[in-house]
Amino acid sequence: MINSLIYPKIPTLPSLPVSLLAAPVTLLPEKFHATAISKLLNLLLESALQEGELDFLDGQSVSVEVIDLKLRFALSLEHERLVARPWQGQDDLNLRGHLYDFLLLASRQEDSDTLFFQRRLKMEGSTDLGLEVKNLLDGMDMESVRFHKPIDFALQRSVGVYSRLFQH
Amino acid sequence: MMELVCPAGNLPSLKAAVDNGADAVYIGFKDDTNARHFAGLNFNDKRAGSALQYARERGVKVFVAINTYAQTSTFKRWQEAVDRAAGLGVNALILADIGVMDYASERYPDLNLHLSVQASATNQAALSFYHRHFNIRRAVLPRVLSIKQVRQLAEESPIPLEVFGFGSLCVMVEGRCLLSSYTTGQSPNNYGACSPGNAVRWQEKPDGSLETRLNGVLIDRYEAGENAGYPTLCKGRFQVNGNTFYAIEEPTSLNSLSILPDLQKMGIAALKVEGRQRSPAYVAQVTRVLRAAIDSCHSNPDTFQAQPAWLAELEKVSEGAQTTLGAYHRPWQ
Repeated sequence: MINSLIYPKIPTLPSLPVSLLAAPVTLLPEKFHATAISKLLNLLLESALQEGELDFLDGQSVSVEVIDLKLRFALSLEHERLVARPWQGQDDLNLRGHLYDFLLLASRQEDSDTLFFQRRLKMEGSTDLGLEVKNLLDGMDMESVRFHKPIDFALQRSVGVYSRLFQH
Repeated sequence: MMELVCPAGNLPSLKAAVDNGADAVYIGFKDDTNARHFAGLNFNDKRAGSALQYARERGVKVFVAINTYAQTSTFKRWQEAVDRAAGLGVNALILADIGVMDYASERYPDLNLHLSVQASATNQAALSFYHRHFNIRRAVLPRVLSIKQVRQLAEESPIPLEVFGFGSLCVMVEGRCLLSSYTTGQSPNNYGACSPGNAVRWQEKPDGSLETRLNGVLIDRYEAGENAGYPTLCKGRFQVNGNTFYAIEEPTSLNSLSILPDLQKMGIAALKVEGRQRSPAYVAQVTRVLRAAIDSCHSNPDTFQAQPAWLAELEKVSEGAQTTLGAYHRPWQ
């Protein structure tokens, strides 16, 4: 007895033109985004970096593509710090999705496998590396992150604002 | 009341289970002694200690799954896992290998031992054997039994039974499945991972379809927009007699909400949720729904109905985005 799927329960993707979101991002040079992303990630993952929990990234490169922002950057580990650079066409793992889906993941409102099953989150390349990344993020105790309260507040707000702005 | 047993692959998931109404949470260590041996998943000693403390302070039990099969050369690791779990003071171990059971029951006679689904015990004689020889105090039933068979077993079983309430389904020859081993050379029963990450490749094609390969073998191709499932051979599509279809098992999740009153009436001790590999968000969502459903069923077993909002929440997180009663609803069985 199979109860077939009746409705997509996670709010679906934005109906506004992609260019509207991408415009402010593409106005700034890619280097700017890479620097901002590096700073933010090193702050968020400070204690995980100190405890060597990102050592699996040694010699590996993970590219993250935010489709609606037309943004793709590559992450690697250098001298125990995360470095983001504009994507140069090579990586060991590529994670791809829309901003809203990344926000849902970052704010822990949705499960990555759920988004993957629904074809919202795409993963290509080394699956083990993908599992390491996913499990690192899932396993992080947010209370150990400096400024976790304002960051969490900002994330939850972003999801709310995004939903209201872009929902069908 | 039926105990709600929820999965946790990491500390935030354990907290999510505890905070959303689990009665017990099951975890595994970071090695091949458990059946969710995936990169970056599971608990080291420090995290397991924090997990125990968090759960215990809130009156929630913690079980440790040591439910893969040891080999002569690796047996020491399984012994050590039992020692570590016993040292942590966990509420129960979930075991499958009789050698490990023998060790645990001799060494820690007071420790609760549960029979894992991986042991695949489906009859009264098997349950009695485990109970008599290793003092097994609860058994998790494999997902091959119809509701009628579960009822019969519940009447005859010498020990309380735990059944699966929700989660991803597999081909359901737990502990004996060779499909992943056939394709990848690594047995889930020893190594602890079905379709290990190093053998899985996803590739999106220009037409938007998604190909899944296991050790280079194409096992499925999802059309653009078609929901995907886990990359296991049992859920692949195959050409049989000229037709391409899910010849073994479809990517689905088990959902037993509609038979909750039956399970309660037959005295099932606990309801288990699958998914130690999932995120804290999944654990929170599923635990919340099952807590509400078990409470509602307990208060009004005769008028209990699964609410549409619960079903929608469970379908959302399902593999392939559909749910089924699986073997529970097999009239011919």
